[in-house]
Amino acid sequence: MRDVAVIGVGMHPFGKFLEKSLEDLARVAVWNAVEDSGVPPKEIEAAYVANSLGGLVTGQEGVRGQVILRDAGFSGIPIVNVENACASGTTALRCGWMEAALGVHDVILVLGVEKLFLPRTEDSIRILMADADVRLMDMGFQFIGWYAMELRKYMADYGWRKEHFAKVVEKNSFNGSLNPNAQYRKPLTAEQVLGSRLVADPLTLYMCAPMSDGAAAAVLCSRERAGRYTSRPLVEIAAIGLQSGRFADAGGAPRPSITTLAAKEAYERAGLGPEDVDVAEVHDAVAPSELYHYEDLGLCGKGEGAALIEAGRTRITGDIPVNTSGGLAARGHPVAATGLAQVAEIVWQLRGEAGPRQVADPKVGLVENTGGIVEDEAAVATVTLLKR
Amino acid sequence: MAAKDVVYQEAECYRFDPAGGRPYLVGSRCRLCGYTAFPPRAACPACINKESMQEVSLGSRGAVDTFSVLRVPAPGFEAPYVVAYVRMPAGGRVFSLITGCEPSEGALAIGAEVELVIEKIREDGQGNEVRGYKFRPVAAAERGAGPR
Repeated sequence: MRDVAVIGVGMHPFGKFLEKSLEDLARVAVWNAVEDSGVPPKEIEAAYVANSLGGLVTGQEGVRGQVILRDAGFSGIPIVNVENACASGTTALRCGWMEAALGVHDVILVLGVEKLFLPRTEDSIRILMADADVRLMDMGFQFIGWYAMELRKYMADYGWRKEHFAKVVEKNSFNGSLNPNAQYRKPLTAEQVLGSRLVADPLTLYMCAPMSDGAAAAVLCSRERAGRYTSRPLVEIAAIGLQSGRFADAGGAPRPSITTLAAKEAYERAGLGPEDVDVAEVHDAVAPSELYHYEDLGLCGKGEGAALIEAGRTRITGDIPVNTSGGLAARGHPVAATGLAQVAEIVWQLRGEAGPRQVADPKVGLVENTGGIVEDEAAVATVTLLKR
Repeated sequence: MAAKDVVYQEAECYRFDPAGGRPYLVGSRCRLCGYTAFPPRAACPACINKESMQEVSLGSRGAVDTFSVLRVPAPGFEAPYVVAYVRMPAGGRVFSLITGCEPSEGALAIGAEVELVIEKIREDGQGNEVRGYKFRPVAAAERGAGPR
């Protein structure tokens, strides 16, 4: 396998853009990433396009990647459509990484784009729900309720409290206030978070990721070719782990989450461990879930997530900064774009380009991205390790 | 005007006891490794065998593994309502609505015993009544059932 670097990243800011199409969002992210990479556009050799729900939004199935990239000026190269719920973006990254590592191509564009805002909110919610097992939806299931049920177990088993949950939002909303690409840029206090309306007990509105439109893109390049395009600090993909849910209940016996398994795969392949991680972006579709992602990624022991947030260790200034971008609740969560926005944040951090969000001299960064729900488990989880 | 129909969803997931008419949940169990699946599956996900699964009763009562009160409903439902994952002693962790229980955090607890009922779940887009399985706290069930 060849070493592969992320030599360019770019975004269309996340937010509510009723007047913009998938193509409008994608074009901005793609060109920001291409210009950031220094690659002449004609030297892009292949592309992977992640989108999860655009078929239900626009009616365009099957060839969205080709249609979207045509608008940005890219055609006549191999284009592959990638769909894996909220983890579509890093799933596409994994496809591009493997293709470059295998030596099939050297320069690969990866795009994640999603448009969810529609004139009628109920249409948006119905479409979003299609990323869970529709069988569950017909029985009254909704995403936030699933997170609420997961977190209630931690409250019962480890004494986690709503106040800990609010502290995560306090941290992430502050980080989001420093991020020009974030959907929400207002710092929230724990009191405001706890005082916002209940969505699914014990979770309140300000703890939840919003509906979002947006796009994020990355340009990958084999390490040997990268010097031709860029003189910036080179950010390499050390490994990507991907795991899908087993949907096999263990009869009450403890079972590792699929995030834990994806992290194990990534750490082993990269020859790195949790102690090497200097900065992380995790998939907090509700901000409090960040607390159990800490332990799934090995950043702390079982049940210790609440202690980590209480001690402030995961702030930008802490020893294990997490979600410096603001995370999903502040940055926004345009499903298939999220994973590549996480990657963009870590690339900026490793290059020392994160501005007011910059953590001190990071060398290894981690991206955790999960997607979908089937039965009682996430459908897919990816863990990406990037190193300078 | 046409009368509205009653539609049953997930009907393969429960049966009625021929003696008393009480509903019980149906899963499948692997005769090789003993793995129990709900909903019933054609192949065993533990030993990945397509010949080994047999239908099995998961019984009528289980325990609340975790729950939430939803204030924002799934499409087609009216909030607030209570949902839970129910663990069946014979195997299976079942997502279900909880009925017969106030939609407030204090009205249910982890570990509470709940009993299967077949009732209206929602209305579909055509206004038909959709019935299916859900659970209610056992105490409420016994109050409703009277002496036995």
